[in-house]
Amino acid sequence: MKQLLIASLFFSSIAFAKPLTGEVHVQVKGMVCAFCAQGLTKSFKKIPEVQDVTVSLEGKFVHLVLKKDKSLEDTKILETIKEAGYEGTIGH
Amino acid sequence: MLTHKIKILIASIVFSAFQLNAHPVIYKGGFDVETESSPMMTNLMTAYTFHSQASVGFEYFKYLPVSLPGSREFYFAKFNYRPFRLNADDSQANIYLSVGSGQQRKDNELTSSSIGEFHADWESRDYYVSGFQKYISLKDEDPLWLSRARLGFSPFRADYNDVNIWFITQFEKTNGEHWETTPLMRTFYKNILWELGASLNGNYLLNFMIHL
Repeated sequence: MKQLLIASLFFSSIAFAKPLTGEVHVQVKGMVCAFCAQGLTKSFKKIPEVQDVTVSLEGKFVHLVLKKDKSLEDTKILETIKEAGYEGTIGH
Repeated sequence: MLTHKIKILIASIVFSAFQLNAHPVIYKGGFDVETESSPMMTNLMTAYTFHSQASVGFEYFKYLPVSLPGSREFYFAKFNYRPFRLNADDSQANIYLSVGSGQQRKDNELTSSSIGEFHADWESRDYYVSGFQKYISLKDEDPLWLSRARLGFSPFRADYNDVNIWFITQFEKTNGEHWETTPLMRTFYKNILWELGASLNGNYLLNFMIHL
């Protein structure tokens, strides 16, 4: 029973992870200062699939340009924002 | 050969000394250096954030309290934890707790000492409020308690690539001394922040911080 539960959790996590390509727009909560923006920029620039990062305090968003022929899972993007201390919602 | 980051780090340490009540936990993988300086204190703090809610670091604190005889120097290894964070659309709120252990130097004698800190803040792009309490144990003496509160506002909203300006009033008190009020101006640009102020008693305040 326990193994079945673990297996179902594993496969459900795979099913929920959605690979994204091209450009990704993320609305961010709690980003109010230049230090916040700098932390998010540095965190995303460490990800090999990311080509460019734009942050707007006024628009409260992070805009990612992914490298050609590369994809990045939405869960990885949201986890990166969480590790920087913020909350994100992927939009358009 | 020194890397560019190490050069910046050395320059920031040499620049001089303070603690800003800034966030002791930043983003995972981030390293920050803070210095604070006034006629009563010199403070240097470094911290590495290894988890989104926790960092480890070092603090050097030189203090010349009016209420205690002689100057003191403290060296602490610290653990900083953020148990609470509220992210709203236009603001954020935080609570930080820090504990540490180290040494006190007084009259060239070293004794063990410990440190505890509580820090709470709320900030938007227009307003800033924070409270800070520092505790340091002293051998055979009453502990040192330092309380600090800050209120601030920004005269205009700046974006990431702009220079940010804040006007802040700081209220500070140590043990049985009177509250000292210090108006100051905070300026920051991307990953560098500095503050310049002068208290109503005429004591200067110089703070500097960098995130690497």
